[in-house]
Amino acid sequence: MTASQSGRFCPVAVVTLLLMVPSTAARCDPTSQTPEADGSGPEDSEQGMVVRYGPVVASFQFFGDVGATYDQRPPAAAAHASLVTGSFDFFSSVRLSDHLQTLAEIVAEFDDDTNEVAFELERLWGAYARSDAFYLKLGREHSPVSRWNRRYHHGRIYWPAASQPFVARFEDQGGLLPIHQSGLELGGTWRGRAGALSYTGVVSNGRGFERVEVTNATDRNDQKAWDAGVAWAPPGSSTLKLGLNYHHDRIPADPAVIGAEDLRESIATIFGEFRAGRLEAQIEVVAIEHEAIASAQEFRNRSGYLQVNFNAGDVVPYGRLDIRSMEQDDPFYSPDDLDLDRWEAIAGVRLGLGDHGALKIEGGYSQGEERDSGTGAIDRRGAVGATLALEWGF
Amino acid sequence: MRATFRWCVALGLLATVPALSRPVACDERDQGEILAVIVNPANNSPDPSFEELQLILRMERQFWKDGRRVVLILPAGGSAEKDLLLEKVYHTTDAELRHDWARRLFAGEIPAVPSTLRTSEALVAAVKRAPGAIAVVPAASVGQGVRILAVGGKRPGEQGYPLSKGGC
Repeated sequence: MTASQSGRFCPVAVVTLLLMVPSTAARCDPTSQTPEADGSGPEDSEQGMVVRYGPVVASFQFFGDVGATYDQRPPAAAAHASLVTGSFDFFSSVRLSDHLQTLAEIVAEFDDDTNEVAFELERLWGAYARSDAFYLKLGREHSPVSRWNRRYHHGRIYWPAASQPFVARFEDQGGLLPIHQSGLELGGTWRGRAGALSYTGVVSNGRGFERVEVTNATDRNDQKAWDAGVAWAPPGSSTLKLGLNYHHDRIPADPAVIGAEDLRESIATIFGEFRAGRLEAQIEVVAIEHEAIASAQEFRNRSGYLQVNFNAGDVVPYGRLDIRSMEQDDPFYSPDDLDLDRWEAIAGVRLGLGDHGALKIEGGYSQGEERDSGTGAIDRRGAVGATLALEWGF
Repeated sequence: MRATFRWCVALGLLATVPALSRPVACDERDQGEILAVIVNPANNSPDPSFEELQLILRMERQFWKDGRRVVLILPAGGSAEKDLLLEKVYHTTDAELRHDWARRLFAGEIPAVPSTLRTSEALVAAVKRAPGAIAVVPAASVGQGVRILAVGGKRPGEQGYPLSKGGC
């Protein structure tokens, strides 16, 4: 999100909050009943920053990243090579009681186009969990349309690569999907002889007038978006997980665009995660359909990726194949030329720098359609690119 | 200086004699290698199977059957107890486990990273105080005031008990 879309936070308030946290990170009894008096408190290195008072357990994490990029065919007004001051992420998770939990995440990052810093409240939700089989969550969260973001969120050090695949990119970074949602989610996990079955249902505000708009506080129409998803893992195994999600929304026509009409959006996502020894693979395939309600025009888009990592301790080589197959002139994507096909192959290595840091070196080749801004003619071109990223989190 | 060194060596050898000469009972020798799973006495959940225990210790199951949240307290990294848990339950390294806890906290999958206490006495004391707590301690250091769970129908020290290294 750009600052104008998301609203700015007062930087002074954020800095004050950040400075306040370490000084208040008192470590007390892990069972939250009474403070430890015998010097046998929690190990510092294993818990991170934790504040306990009464039944409340508040945990804090910080993330940051810097790096450099090279793009053989950069966007307009951008150089081929740039040094990048990345993002700073402040995260808190608070267990208020046995059944209540809240989570908040604020990210400060520079806008690619303007070089201006913007603060954004990426996640803010409260949840009530009755049991393992049932929870209710209300607030802003990453949508289950993207498994990548539900797993890694904005914590780049947890990403298995320096960059995200097409379907996981955020709305303001050329993303195809409604990654962020404000809504009510319910879910849970049942365990039985056939394994663990997780379910998720969401009712949310849905898309705004434009692809980059997240309807955080004001929906643009009365029709709510909804999601339904399930995931399954075999019994006693953390080596396989399969899942699917269906998202439905009615996207309101932008009143500023003459001739625009409401769109019916359907997004089906399937994903798989596999692990065998040191080898890890994850695959995600998404089908996005837009139906213009007045004219009955339909646009079918597909995107998916396969990422493979070889976990050899501190050195993790990885590779990814990423494809976007789009239907031209889809009115929701064409203003940003996201209605054009593209594929990308990357290879990289993640070097672990202790418990709290990582260096990622990534290179790749991409090829895609490009639209001439003057004539509208479409051409296909390829380019190489590279990314260096130093990431940390603690 | 040389005489002092000789005296030190002699005293050191003398100190080892009782330990070498006294026969050590099987139980006594292996108690440190057997872990007991302890919960608060108010916790009336049935004894778990080993698979159920693994789910609890991995925080994949976060609630007891009575609706209370599981409060997992782990032994310190580098301890024999933690090493045994890494081998039998987590199947990973301590560093990777810490990384996974942090990632799951960040993903909102767990509300807090499990606490870690340095001594068995502190673990037992913490479990006594908290109704939802569960911890793993050497069987020899359990003491009174906590409930020891049978795992897969086996008590600590019994043949086939899963949280032991080797066995008598």
